[in-house]
Amino acid sequence: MVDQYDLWLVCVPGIGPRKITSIISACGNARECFFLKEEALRYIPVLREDDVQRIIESRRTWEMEKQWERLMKSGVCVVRKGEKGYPKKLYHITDPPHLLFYRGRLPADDQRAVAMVGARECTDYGREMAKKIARTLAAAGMTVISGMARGIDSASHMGAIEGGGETYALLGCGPDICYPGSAKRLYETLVSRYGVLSEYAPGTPPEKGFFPARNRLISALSDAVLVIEARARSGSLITADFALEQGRDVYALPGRITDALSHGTNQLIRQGASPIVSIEVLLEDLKLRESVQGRGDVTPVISLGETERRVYEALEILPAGMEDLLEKTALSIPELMAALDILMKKQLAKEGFPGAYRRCY
Amino acid sequence: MYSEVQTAAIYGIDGVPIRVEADVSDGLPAFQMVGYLGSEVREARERVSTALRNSGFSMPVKRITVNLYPADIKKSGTGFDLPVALAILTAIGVIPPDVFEETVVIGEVNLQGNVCPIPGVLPIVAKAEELGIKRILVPAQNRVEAELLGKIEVIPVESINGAVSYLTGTYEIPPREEQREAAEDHAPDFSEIKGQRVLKRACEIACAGMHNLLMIGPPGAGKSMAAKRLPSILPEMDRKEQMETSKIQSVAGLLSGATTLSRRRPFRSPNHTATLQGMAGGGTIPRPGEMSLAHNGVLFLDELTEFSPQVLEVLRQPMEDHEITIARANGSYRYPAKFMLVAAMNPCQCGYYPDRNRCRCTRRQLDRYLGRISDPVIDRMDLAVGINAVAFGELSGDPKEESSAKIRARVEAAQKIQKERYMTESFRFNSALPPGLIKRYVPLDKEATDYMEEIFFRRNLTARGYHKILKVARTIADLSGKERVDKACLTEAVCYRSVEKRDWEPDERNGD
Repeated sequence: MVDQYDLWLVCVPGIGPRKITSIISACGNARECFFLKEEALRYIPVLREDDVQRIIESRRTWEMEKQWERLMKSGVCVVRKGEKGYPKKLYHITDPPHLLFYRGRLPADDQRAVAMVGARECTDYGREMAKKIARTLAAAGMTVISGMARGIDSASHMGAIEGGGETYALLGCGPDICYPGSAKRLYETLVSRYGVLSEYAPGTPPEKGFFPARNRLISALSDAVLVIEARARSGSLITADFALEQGRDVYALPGRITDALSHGTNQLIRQGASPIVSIEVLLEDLKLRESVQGRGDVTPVISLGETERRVYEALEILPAGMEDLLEKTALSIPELMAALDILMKKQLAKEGFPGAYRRCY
Repeated sequence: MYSEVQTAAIYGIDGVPIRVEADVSDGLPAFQMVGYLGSEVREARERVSTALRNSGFSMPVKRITVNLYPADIKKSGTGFDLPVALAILTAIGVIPPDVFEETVVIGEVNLQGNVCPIPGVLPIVAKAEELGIKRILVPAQNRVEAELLGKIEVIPVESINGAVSYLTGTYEIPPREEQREAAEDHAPDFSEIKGQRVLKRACEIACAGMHNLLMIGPPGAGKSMAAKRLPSILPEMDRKEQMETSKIQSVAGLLSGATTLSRRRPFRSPNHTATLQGMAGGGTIPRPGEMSLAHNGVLFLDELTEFSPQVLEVLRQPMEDHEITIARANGSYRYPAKFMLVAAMNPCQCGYYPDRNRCRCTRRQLDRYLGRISDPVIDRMDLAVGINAVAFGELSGDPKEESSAKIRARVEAAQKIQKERYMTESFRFNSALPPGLIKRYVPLDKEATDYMEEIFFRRNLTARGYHKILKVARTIADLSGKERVDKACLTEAVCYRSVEKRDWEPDERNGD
């Protein structure tokens, strides 16, 4: 069982999972470490002098009972490395977290999972594709792991939920904190039906440095990592790096070379990531092909009239201005507007911005 | 001896008759002016006495009292100099007293004794005409403006001496210089905008029903270009409107140089640094603001989000009442302000959203940018049109574009239909249709009713938004000469209603 000393240990500032592993192997458990003499602490490998000072300082100021009570009351569950229920996939990485906090459930060990990551400020193309891929994969029985950020992350979670599969979020803050705040509804859904996981204790606010560390867990819990949209030098590429270190397959969604948000993914493909050339091929690659056979998408175009079909065909995944649509369809303004209205009603088109319309899938 | 000269002051945008009395009597030599004078009027004492001396008249060594009445109106402006000077000259017997019958005198004088131009001549001339005055003495440089109305005899004077010699009958009025008929200045025309059919269509609808228009688009898409051309597709002003607008311009000193009353509707485009006063009017000497200068025309706010919130809020009341009231300790001034509000804004701080290659604004930045405009202001925009940057093909190609005159013909036809329909009502345009009368003037058939019901729920409309769609649809029907508003009119109107704030937020709240 996790005890109050475990909680203390993971909360010591500056002591990360790597050092904790070293401490545990030297002391046996966190309680021993708490009562260890200062000189003995210095013998623990990896710990430097300032680490020792931090531990000593923390032992003095840590409010053991109060913090434990807070954890008990927060409704957050916790599992320790080595205990039953601790995700086995985490043992394969170099620095698995000592404690894993979660709300909801933990992903099952025999469950295959993909991580989906990408930019927060993404394009409609990225968002639509993330949603569609997640939906298809989830429908094929794949679990989708992501980070609940805006943009690609949220779209992936939403797609997985729509597809009827499982989806888990890893946060860069305590699992009792909904970050970003705008994802409130998604957070509630994840907590009540799936799971929200974190290596940070309840109440820990998000910090810049936590997110790259969180990314290593996203890839660790998955069998493959899909990067949907990323600018050059972005956080999603960090996740891809972790994935390679951890021996996961990396897939990247190719984009036009002129799109800033595809620079990162195209770069990954150049470095050897598999391009996602179509969802079918992706399913084959992930060995899911068999299970989705027959589920193929129904093309919605059948039920459309002549003008609507013309407009639908002129629409692209990136929003197009009304002027362009007039040009392409050669319709009059009222005709075009009537057609767009029907398409929007059927949810085949969307007005992303005043006067700019795009296709929906 | 006592004398009296008629003059006038500007109050709001109207002239009010003022009488200048001068009395020269025995006593300690003094020159005093009374009658609720503003400081610039009080200074007239020094100007006038010096100007008279420099014009060759010696001030009598007597007690001179000048009174401006009615004394309960605060006198401001410099137009009283000349009447004061002439009243004194009459009182000392230089000018015979009977020449001032049915004559109004206005003008400022400088120390040399020359007469200088003043603002607000037109409303004074209009008032004089209304009161049956026969002639008016105006500064020579204001002659053209004073003659705009044509009925009253205008006597241009260049100096105090000139005025005296005219009044004593030794002076001929120089014939009016043959005014070069101002060449029809090159007015911007809609045919100069390539492509952008949707934008042009929205402008046409807005003008036909006098709807307020909001344009959202990246820099260089042609928002300001279109706005500047709106007056060219609005019907010309009628005589009454011309008078109203010209009076305001005269008071603001913008009319000098005009040779005829302009029929073209004003277009005002205040910079976004405009202050509350610049916008609404006011100041210690109240002057009309941009809202009034745009009276009967277009008030264009470029970069709407950059305007200070207070300035935008002050727009709201005049948009309902069509006039603005400025209260001052010495009375309140009313300036008419009936204008069509046209606004333009970028979609985000950098201007390029949703082009993610160029726009790196975060969700929060987008929200904050749009949040600068309050809902009540957004609520007052009937049409919102999102426009995209012009595609290169449209720039380089040379399709024949429709001229403003053609569009104006359609707008005029649509306005005529409205005028006839609302003959018995107090309003003239679809945009002013009150909610209570919408059912009566915008009857819907079964199909259209069902459609509106569906739209109401699908787009999550407010009651106000719902009514705006109906009003715009009414204008669209009028433009195409349709008696009834059908579904096609409604779908088009709905497309111009993306202005509802929640609609512009891309589908990302909570993932969707």
